[in-house]
Amino acid sequence: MIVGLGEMLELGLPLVLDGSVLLLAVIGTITGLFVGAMPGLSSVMAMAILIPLTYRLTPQQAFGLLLPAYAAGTFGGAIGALLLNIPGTGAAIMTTYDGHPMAKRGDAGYAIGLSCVYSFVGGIISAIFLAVFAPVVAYWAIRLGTREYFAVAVFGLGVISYLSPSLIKGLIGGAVGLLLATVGMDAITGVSRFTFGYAELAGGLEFVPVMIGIFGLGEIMYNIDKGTREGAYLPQRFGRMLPRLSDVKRCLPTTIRSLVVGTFIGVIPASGPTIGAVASYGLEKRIGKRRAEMGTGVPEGIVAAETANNAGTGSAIVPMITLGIPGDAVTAVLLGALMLHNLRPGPALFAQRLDVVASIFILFFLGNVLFVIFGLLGARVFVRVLKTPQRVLLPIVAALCFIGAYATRRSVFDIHILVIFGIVGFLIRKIGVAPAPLILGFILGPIVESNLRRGLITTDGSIAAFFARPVSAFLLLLTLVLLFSPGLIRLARAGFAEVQRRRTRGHRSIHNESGRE
Amino acid sequence: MRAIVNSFTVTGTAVLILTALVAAYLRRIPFAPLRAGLGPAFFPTVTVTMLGVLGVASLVTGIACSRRQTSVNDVEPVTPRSFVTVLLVILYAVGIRHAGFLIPTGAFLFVSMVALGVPVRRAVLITVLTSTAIYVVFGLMFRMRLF
Repeated sequence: MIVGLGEMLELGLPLVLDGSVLLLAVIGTITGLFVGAMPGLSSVMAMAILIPLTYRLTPQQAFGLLLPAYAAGTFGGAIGALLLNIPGTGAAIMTTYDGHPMAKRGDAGYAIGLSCVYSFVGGIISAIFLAVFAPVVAYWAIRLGTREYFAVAVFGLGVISYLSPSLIKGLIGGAVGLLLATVGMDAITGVSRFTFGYAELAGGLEFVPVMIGIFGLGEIMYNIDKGTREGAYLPQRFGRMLPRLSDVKRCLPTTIRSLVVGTFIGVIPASGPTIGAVASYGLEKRIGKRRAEMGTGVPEGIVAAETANNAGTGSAIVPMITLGIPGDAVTAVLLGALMLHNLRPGPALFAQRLDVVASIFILFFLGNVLFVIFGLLGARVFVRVLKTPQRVLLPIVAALCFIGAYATRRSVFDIHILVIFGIVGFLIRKIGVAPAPLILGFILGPIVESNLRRGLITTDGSIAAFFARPVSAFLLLLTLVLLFSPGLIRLARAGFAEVQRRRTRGHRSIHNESGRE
Repeated sequence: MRAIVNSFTVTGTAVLILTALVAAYLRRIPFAPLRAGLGPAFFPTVTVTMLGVLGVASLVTGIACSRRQTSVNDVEPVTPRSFVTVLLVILYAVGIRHAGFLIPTGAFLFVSMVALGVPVRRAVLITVLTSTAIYVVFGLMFRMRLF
């Protein structure tokens, strides 16, 4: 039976309306806004460092800290994008195009206000979508077998590799992640793999130090290496913040389009809010009423980007909580938080721990309400945050990475893992390999391996059997199309050009022959 | 020769070295037939084969791009700053192993801030404040052993 909203509210509200949970939600919101605003720090990094601190908390307290940080961090990225032309998070990249020109014109306050309000609109709609749609997906996910789970995981990896700056490097990252997931004892035979005699590796590589190393320490080292940035120039005049009614009316079609695009792109495994924002801005540039003015500082540009990226946050949680397939890097980290609390995402979570699921939905909603309040009231303070020089901030965050990695198991071995993956994270950034496919491969590794092996055993080793069921066939074919599409497009273009050349030659020869006649 | 060194050739070479090392290690892990559950070496073998193919593809792409003079994301240079950053992080980890958290954290913060150009007095002040905050939050509130 699909779980209703009323039932979830009844279960989750008493757990969430607890003083400690609400206090942690406020701390999470402020942390998210701070980290999101600061270029060089990212919401993934913040979540990675916060997760070990939640180890001794209840799931409600843990997600009370993490989910508001996620929602606020996605909006916070706009502050850096508007004032410095450097997006604080990847999801705010499209906000720079119209947000920064508007801020430079002297309307910094209005640009922040627009971003905050429309991020809130996107976030609230996506929270509702999450609460309504996730139980439906979980209900249907019970029917999925090993082959379907294998196909969904492969599809997720395919999408994130496809969306990487280079497909080959994205796939390499994903494959390395899959390989890392095989470290430790094999779940079926109990044989040790790649443990090199270390007892600490018998249970596999610990998720928290790997994640903090790749997303936290690796990024800090990369930023230090690139050269730190001094404190930012701050606008003298802040002015009006709340959107004018005329702008709200004029931006209504843009808002609706961005909500639809952001929500539906966000729900695709491994695509997340960034792609939603890029697609929404691109759509507005093609069909929007003020498409010719896009990029000059029009409200439609900010509305399209900010509504879509926050609309993608809640929907990115849907595949993570129902199938165990993260929607983006942040939800991959959230998945780690679930596992840290011994909670296995998937349909079983809805059946066994509906209280946790209901709390997650309510806390995500609360996180969106909190960031609009703190975002609007504290904008002037958060803007001042940008004045903090990176040369002070980065070493402090690096030290927090070390303590975060140590905190979960209180093990010095985890610090060694952190350092190794910090250096790996630093080096892969240097050669242009995106870290997200690597982490996704690491998380999806056990799902891919166990379902592939079980699937092959039950079908007598038939690969074709994976294409025999409609869902797995559809997803695997889609993945193949996705991975080979750049090559296919190139081939099609070359073929088309060849046909054109031949036609031109043919026309010429006919023309010449008719001329001779 | 210099033109061949780009991010794709570097990635491809690194991946092929990793593939060779993993493949050598895999010989120690048993490979079982289908009816015996495919064995623990099955999935790593599939993955490492995939990695090998991708490594070759990356290398070929890099070489093709350099021959066609196509612009590719070139590999970022490794600067002395890169070495200092990596060295500081390793020394910090070694310090934690031998002296606990508090003293190495203070030393790491001070040295890295001064290396990044923060004035010494300011660096001392920030180091003391941050170390105290870490002790209060993690040592007293979370009851972590920091020594």
